[in-house]
Amino acid sequence: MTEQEILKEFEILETGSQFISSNFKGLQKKFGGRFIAIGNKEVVANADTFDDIIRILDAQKINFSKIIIQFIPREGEIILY
Amino acid sequence: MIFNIELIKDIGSERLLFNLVSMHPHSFGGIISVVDTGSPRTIISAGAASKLKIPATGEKASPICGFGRGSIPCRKLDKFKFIIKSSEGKTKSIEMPVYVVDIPALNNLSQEMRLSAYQIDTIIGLDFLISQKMKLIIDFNNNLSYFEEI
Repeated sequence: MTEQEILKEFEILETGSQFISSNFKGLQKKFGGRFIAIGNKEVVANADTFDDIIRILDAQKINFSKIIIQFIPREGEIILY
Repeated sequence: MIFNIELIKDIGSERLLFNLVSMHPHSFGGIISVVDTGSPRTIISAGAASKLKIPATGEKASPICGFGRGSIPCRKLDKFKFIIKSSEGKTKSIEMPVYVVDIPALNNLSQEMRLSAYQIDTIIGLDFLISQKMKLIIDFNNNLSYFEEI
């Protein structure tokens, strides 16, 4: 991988993580308990399971190397690792 | 060098998000991880392992207990290669042992276990701080969090 490709990957990650941190409450209200796919500062797909969201992205021919997939906990739900 | 951490400050949902890029052979791609000082080990999630096809080929590790509901099967990768990016835009290559969720073994478990496992993020544990000689600064009140090389 070139330095440029790596920096591009970081750009996607930073945009995604900033989108999540800035909109977390809103995402919980709308998508709590679901997996979401984020691309270019918007939720492009959501599903109950990880497998389902991969299927949706495949069906929509979305290149998921440029997509961030994240589980959004329900409001009030605390995940302990 | 300083490596910024993204803070989620919403009450009840506080988290520290840290970006890394996997450079593992045939498994290039970004991972948003959660910094967890309660975890002794760094663990690559089921989602990241599945999406980036990170192979669970290392020595079979004890199932991770206290990680999600029940025990999640995992393996130890002795050398996981990844890159982190500093606040100045410089990249740093890292190679360290990590645990990775064993997807083939996970697929043999119940649907409930699989659902639960996929909900858990990649975790940056204390081994990252120790092996990379980093200190961790968290200042929620000033919206500031980062790793800093010692």
